[in-house]
Amino acid sequence: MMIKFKVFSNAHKEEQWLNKMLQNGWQLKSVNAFNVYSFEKTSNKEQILRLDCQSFASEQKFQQYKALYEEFGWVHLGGSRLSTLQYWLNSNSIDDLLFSDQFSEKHYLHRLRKIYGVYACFSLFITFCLFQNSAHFLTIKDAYYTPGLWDKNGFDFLGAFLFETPLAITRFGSPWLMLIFGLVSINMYFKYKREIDKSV
Amino acid sequence: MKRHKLLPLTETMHYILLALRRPLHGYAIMQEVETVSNGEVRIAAGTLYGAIENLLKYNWIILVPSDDPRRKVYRITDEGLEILEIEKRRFVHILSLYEGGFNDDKV
Repeated sequence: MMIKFKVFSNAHKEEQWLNKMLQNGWQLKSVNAFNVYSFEKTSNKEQILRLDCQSFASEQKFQQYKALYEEFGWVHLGGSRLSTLQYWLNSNSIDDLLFSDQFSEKHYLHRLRKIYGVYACFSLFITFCLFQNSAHFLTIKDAYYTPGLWDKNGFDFLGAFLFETPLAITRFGSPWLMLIFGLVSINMYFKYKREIDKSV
Repeated sequence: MKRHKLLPLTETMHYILLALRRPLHGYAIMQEVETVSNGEVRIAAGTLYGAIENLLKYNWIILVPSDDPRRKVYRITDEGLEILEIEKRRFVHILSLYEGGFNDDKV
């Protein structure tokens, strides 16, 4: 059993990484919404892992989707109705791809591009709001709310300081993190767009 | 008349529509297509799923009520048959060109 935390900006890289782990004898067991991957030792290196990008209007649709893939021999390892990315494992080496023609492969890229477009708009909007409504993103000292904190001494100071630090870092860092996330998303959006244009 | 955006059909779509002239569930569509194409066309899961969603959206196929709630059965609609008819005319025309149509007509 091995647990890993990793963040990817690219579904293709994520897929490659998961397949590399598989080649090293670690098969993905599950993955949650916070990008925590659980692996299990395996000796079957013939298996292959594929990512799909789908979310569903209803639970019923999600079940139908899973039922169809399972009939083809794919095992659903991760992803929920609204998670967009779906993780599939196949142990028969005949069907090692989720997409068998150019049309559907291209649509997969379209869905990925759309997701990053949504991420970009959303995070840049939040970034804008955060920058607009707060003044803590320039000096971290302003992000400490405790009254009279900087006049305190000794343990009194240390206690209050340590208590407030995670909150201050959140206040100071969140607009910047959102901005970075937004820029990464824009970059991915255009990367997929180029890939789609190339495949015409 | 403007051509529908899914026309001309991809090979996959074509085979699926032809197969669904009788009611079939998802996996059976793939098997049927593999058989009639002499093993040439093996539709992958994601491709089949996307194609079914697309065909449903344009009402070229519909869901047929069945007992198994997870295993959906589909069949072609009249609109779907019309699309096949359009495609058939296109193929017949191209075939006629193969068979010397260019020489007989004025170029």
